[in-house]
Amino acid sequence: MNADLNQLALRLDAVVRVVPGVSSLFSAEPALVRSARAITAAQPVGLVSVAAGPDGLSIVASVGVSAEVQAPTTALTVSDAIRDALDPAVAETAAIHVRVSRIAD
Amino acid sequence: MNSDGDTDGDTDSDIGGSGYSLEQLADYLYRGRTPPIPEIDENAECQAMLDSLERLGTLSSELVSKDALDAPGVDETWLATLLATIGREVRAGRDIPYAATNPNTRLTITEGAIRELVRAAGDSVDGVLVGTCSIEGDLDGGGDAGEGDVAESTITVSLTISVVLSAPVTTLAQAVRERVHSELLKHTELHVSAINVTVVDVHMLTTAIEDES
Repeated sequence: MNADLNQLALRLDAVVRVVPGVSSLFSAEPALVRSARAITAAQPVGLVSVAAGPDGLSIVASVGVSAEVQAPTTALTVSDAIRDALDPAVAETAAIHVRVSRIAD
Repeated sequence: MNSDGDTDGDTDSDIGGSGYSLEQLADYLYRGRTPPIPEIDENAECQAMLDSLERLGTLSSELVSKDALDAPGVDETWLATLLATIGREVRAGRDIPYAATNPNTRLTITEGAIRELVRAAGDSVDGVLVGTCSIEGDLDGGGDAGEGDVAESTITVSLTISVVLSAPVTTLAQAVRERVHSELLKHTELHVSAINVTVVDVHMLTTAIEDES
């Protein structure tokens, strides 16, 4: 992930954390990959994964959600929040994957 | 490997590919999760394991205290087996799709999150401790169904539970069944065809009986 994509990932981290119903944000990448990336980046790396592909950005967010709200509803809200945070031209083609990894407060 | 690789590099002693073992997670818990360890705090499987350890510590205490009087030495094996089971169940596993209307949006829940949900629902019934939890069926959406089409997904949930006999066994088992069903209805889009609850241990409320005598 280049510096621009990492900056976007960090920005999306902040976006996802404040979505109602999100109780935690986890690394979307394997721990080893993230650790290696953190070492090479020499700066904080995002928990949301952002990658550039031929068809546009590929974004993955792994979240823990509150048991108070239906998990599918929160997942959809997260994906909408991510898309809304992107530039419109980028948002149109971005592939967004929201993974509910835990349901716990 | 899970699609996001949450369990990449997993070994039997490595929870969620974090590089931390069950014993190290237990130590972290006993230290009050301080100082913070990002590799644990940002790992869903480690967090699920820590919460399970916490819940287990509370729920097992009355079962263990009774067992320790009757058969000291049995409990360590029982707890070790239970912890190993939970360690396997918290693994993320497959991504189970939720319906999504935007073709560029994919919404999923991990198999591990569903198992944790089921376990927590069962444990929430007073006097019940879930032993094993398995989910069988077509979690991926069913036969020829496309990605995100979960309408035909049908699953069977099977649980084993230990109970403190504070109510008839059938009442406790039914309460577990109802809570598990309610949580699955709320947080998944799966069709639950059956929830099988098997009671494998029954413990008497000795304290209450002794108090009365």
